Amino acid sequence: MIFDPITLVTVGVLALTVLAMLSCAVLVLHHAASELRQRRHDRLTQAALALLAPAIVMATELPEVARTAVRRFGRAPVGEVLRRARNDVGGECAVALTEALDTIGEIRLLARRARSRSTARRRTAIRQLAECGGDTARDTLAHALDDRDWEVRRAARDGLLADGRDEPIRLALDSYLHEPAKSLGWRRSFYARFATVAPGTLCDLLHRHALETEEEKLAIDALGHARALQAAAEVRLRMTSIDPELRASAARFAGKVEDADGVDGLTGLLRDPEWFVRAAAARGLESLPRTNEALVALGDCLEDPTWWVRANAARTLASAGERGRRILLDAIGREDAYARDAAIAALATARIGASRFGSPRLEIRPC
Amino acid sequence: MGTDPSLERTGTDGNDEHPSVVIAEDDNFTALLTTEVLRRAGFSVVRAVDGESALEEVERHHPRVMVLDINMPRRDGLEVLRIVRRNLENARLRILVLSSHAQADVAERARREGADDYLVKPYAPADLVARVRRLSDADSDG
Repeated sequence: MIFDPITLVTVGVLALTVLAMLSCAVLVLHHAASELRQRRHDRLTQAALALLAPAIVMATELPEVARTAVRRFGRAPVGEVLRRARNDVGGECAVALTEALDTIGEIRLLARRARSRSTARRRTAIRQLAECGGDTARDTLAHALDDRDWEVRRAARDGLLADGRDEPIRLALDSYLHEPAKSLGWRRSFYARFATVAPGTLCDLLHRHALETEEEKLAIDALGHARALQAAAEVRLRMTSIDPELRASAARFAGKVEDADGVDGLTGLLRDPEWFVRAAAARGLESLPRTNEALVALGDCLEDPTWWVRANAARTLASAGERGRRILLDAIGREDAYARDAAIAALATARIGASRFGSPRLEIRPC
Repeated sequence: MGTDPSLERTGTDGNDEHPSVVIAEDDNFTALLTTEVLRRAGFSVVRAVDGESALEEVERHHPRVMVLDINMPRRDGLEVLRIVRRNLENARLRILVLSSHAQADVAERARREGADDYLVKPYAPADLVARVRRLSDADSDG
């Protein structure tokens, strides 16, 4: 049988169209089924939460109630409720939640999945194990630090940090330091967690100079962010470091944790050769009591060649009460246009701030 | 595992006409657990699912305490704080900001905007109850 070319093309186009329509139909059906499954899961999770909530907050009979909930709603929704609850409630409740997760077999199941050949499956399992707490989860997380996938290793480290105990934290830190490639955001995120969970341990690492300069900088920023005042004495020593970025980090830290003993150090940094150190010091002093020397140095900063330094100094002076405002008012009369502009901008902001927060209004009368 | 006496149910069941606590929280999960903790401790609770409805609930019920989340749709927690503190009618309202670790820096901003207390998750239920009770009793004492 011989077909002419037009018939062949028509049949080919028709066949492709039918194939495309079938693929679309399969895709739509798949999405619909996934959506239905997700909705069912969400409904069951909400129902399980309603049943479990009283036992979770009372931390009593939770394993028994969890077993009942598994019979009614299935293991997956109950497991999710118990894991998520550990993000919200701590103390005695967290211990009870771990016990309940163990009772319903969730931790064993996730530990098994953490050894799966599928990378996606391992990632999910490790992230979920990190929410479970307890010794079995900790051992699996520690084992996952040697995983070939960096995301699994990262999730395992985060989980070990969240554990909060000394040994898991040490394991997480060792793994982090031996990680070959790390982005800046990733490193910041690691130290942010570390500083929140164990500021004392991080402070001890600074004391022992166990971190390289670049890592120290991130650690100090994270400690400042976590308002870890206990690290103040150690960080203050970095104000005289030969590395300017470390000096700037130390200045930012002193301001964030309101380290009153750091005022003299910050005053010295206002005359640092690097502009970003001077800017950080000027900003750091905003939340601290200002000495006469600091006020004089801040006044000098109004003529700094860098805009950030002038702006930060003016802002700090505007918040320094009558003496600071007097320096700003003097600067308005100076010939230096930079100082004049910075002073005017800061005084204008101070006026708005003063009226908003109810502090005494600043009166500036035209000459 | 013992039961914390501070979490024992002592009073209203949350359906009061004048709730003592408004929980402004968009996440169902956190809202339900927080509500459960406070109801067990005897507070009557009303929940708002976003910033806008939090303001409406405050205006409608004049609660003594608001437990406020920061990340919410239709006005975030800080904006709600600013608006509430601008209105003199809310002078007696005490505000506890409940937030996650990642937002530790928000604590300072929340305090500046007029929050009375700040609690980071995960929290011990007894701690939450103690703080809400202290805020709730603040005016009664004075």
